[in-house]
Amino acid sequence: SQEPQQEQASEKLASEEQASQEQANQELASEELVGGIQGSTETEENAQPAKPDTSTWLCELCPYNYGLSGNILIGAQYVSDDFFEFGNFRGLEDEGVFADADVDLQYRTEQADYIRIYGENLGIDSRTLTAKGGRQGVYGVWLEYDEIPYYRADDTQTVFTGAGTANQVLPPDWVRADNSDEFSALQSSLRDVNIRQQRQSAGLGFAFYLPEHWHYRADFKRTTKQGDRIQGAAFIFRASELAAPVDYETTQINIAIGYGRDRWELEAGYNLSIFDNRDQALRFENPFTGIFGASLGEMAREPDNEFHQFTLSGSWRQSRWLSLAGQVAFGFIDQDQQFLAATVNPNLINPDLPRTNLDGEVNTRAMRLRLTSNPFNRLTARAQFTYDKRDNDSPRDSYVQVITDTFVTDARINEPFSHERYNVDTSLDYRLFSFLKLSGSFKHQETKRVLQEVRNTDTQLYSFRIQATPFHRLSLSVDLNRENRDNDLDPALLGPQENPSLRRFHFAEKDRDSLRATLDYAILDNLYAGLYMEIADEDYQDTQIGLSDARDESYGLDLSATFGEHISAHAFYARESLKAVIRGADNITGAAWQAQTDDDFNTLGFGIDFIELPGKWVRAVLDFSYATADGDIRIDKQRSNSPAFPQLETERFTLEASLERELYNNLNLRFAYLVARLTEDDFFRDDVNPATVPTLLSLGEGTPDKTVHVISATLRYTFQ
Amino acid sequence: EAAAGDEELPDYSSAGADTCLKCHGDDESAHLLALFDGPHGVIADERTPMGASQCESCHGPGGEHAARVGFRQQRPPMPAFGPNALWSKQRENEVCLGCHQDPARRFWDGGTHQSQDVSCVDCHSIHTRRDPVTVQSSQPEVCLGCHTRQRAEIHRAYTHPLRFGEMACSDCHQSHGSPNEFMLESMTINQNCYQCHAEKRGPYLWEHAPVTEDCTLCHRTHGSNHPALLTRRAPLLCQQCHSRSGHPSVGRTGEALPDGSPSVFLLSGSCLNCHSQVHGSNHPSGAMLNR
Repeated sequence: SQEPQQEQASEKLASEEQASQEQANQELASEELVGGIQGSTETEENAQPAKPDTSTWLCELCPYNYGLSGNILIGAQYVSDDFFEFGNFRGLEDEGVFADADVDLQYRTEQADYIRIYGENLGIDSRTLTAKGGRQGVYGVWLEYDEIPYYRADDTQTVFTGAGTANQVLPPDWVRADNSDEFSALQSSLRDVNIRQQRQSAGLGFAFYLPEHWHYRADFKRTTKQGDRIQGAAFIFRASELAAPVDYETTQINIAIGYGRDRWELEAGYNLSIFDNRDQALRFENPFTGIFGASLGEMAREPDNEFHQFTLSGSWRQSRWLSLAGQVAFGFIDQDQQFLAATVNPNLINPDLPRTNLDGEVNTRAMRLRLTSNPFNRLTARAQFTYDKRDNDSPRDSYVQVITDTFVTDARINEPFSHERYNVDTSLDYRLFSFLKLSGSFKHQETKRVLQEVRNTDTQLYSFRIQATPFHRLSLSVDLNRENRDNDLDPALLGPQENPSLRRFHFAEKDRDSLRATLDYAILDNLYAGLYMEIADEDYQDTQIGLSDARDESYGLDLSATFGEHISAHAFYARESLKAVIRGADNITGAAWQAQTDDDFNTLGFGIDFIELPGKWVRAVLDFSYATADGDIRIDKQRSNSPAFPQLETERFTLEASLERELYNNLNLRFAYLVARLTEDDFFRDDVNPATVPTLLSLGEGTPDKTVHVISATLRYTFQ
Repeated sequence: EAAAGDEELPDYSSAGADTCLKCHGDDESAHLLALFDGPHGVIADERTPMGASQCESCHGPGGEHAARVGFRQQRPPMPAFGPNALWSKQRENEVCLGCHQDPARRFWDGGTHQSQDVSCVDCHSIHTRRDPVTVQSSQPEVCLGCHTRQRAEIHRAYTHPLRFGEMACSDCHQSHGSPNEFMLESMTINQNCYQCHAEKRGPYLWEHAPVTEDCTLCHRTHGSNHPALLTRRAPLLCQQCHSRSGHPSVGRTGEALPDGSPSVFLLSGSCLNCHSQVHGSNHPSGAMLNR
């Protein structure tokens, strides 16, 4: 209905413009050019002509679309097989037919009022739905709902009644034994249990943009996570894997008020996060013959906590010559969850606790300050200071330890760890020629810790970068980085039983060199290629026990092409290798060993998207991805001829295709097909049945090896 | 590239968008007209291009481009955002930032994307009803177009749900510039993780020192070959930092596999079979992180 109007308006405008264009242009040129030059600031980058008189710009050809627009998609999808791991994050874990529904609707008025509703996967457990409304530029409100399914295993089995709950008991006819292969009632007691969690979040928020430079925004979000997870439960050197309960609720509130002018703005904010765990304890019976009558154990669950943070942020942009941005934050975490008893073993003396809860408090402080300057076109300078502090003010007390509800031992004093970190980072970018830009930066980081063998680390990072565009089809960049870290290690603080040669990698002395190179080339006007290479070498020169060397290599190729306005295609391949050497010793006096780990990844994919097809076919999409990973772990021990570990392997491919055809004016039919295969070899889990390890009653989690097909047929109705 | 300081600025067109749409309003340009379905095409909102100088709010004065051209004469390009545009990326960005001055762009100047000459339109689609980079499920495709290493990483066996459309890059990263490590949204790595994993926040009675400092010491956030996105498998993961006399220090070999002498110190959860509270324990007897 808009086309005839547009044609008429177009003709009218064409004739009017022919007559008036030259004159108007001359008039406007004289006014705007003067205005533009006078109105410009000190650089040509800000040179703009004065705003034109738009009172006669009627926009009669503009196809504004008021009222309802968008589309809804509804239909069914068939999943060929039960495949739990395929359903992970997708929500399609079972064989059968499921609803397939998406929505993308918008209602707008001439006054800039709007309502937008957007949803995906509404028929399955990975659904998401948002609704936004308001008056654009004045205020906005929104509601959102989201679900994420996490599916880990459905081949797991347990003997515990109450699996997935906070109280897990053995069957009445259970016969305890010293080793798992002696459990006479094992086979008759095993029951299937799925390891899965479902995250659901619902939120709402609003924002006001007032003409007097003020803005307000606030949002509220509540997230629940329910299900179970695998957790070990030990009695000395005997352990059971449990389907431990997960029943979390997190509430988040963010509020901000801001004031902004042309060159500066300030914002004050408050963030609140409250974590509530519905389970405070997990009780479990001991399937093994317990030492000292240890037949029942109890673990603490993650404690409830609250985090409050106040922030003040702002920026000032004097011009492109100088801009300043900063942020300071003060926060604290509270945790006062009631302690459980030191043991639930009635045969032991239950030691008195020094307090009934931790009364834990962590104070957080953070500051960010960045100064950026473009003193002239070719040069950009930046200096940044950052500061972070986690100050754990929780009280220190002495707690008599009852080891795994089995025996009482010495008291331990808790160690509330704190750390403090400063960074100073400076960089210069200089455009030597229009096609060549050089960058250099230096960063100094200092970290202070308490209650650890390293109190201070100093890290220097030097970086150099070249960006070049030798001709318009080609751009290159090379990054070189060198990092040195020193520390003030005091080996005496490692503890009496720790190997004195141990150096913990996160604060060990280290040299790290890395190189990254990229190349982007427009082979043709519609065909682009990209290459990248990254190599990083880490050397922990002072480490005789612990992580001593690491090397990452990554290479990739990308191709993308467009064919007219309606067809696009892409392809990629990436190869990555992660290597590490870990040194150890069976005991403090010797028996050294060395482990080498090597994870190799190959990933490739391609896709093609036809946005418009001949005839009534509207769109076709094809997408394929393939990923494989091999993990090697090799242990070299002196005087040992042990068998090697098998390789860890994962292999996955997914092929998705869809085709959409117009049935009627506003109604399309869409077919989609997906085939996916996932296989995994993992010697940590493969062939480990519930009783395979004599001192472990495991859940017997295996690895996937399956193919699944999903076919869907949906109708898309478009509102115009 | 940006013209010199004494450049002669072109004129605006005589009729604004109506001038443009005479040529760019046909079927071939249908994809451009989607602007009018999106937030930039709202005439009642004076902040938007269509509420101000219309197409020329962003593309710059189009008088020369719209003027008649002689036989065999090439039509001059629009100053900004188009084929052979005259203005530099930086100047084009200034056009966007002239309106989009909200706090999220506070650290744009001097930020990684700015210093690497990324322009707003490298990521954002303006002539669209819904900018793909603002939609959770389609955003990763935009980001991973450049971040190709991360694209490979999210295809690994254990990842965050980016490739399933259940998470967006912007859930963790602030693409418009951030003074935080890795351009994170939150001020520290751990605070970022606690946004979704608040149960790890503690403080616990018995803390595990590296956990309080940096989750990425043990977890590879974009994807891993090992469950729970770990950097490597236990026991070696743990033996990077623990070599106490007794069982923690022993190098486990293939002898501990099921066809040898299957060991609780290697198989299934390995160290976590017993020390399962690796993120900390709030149990009075939990100093060894097994309660």
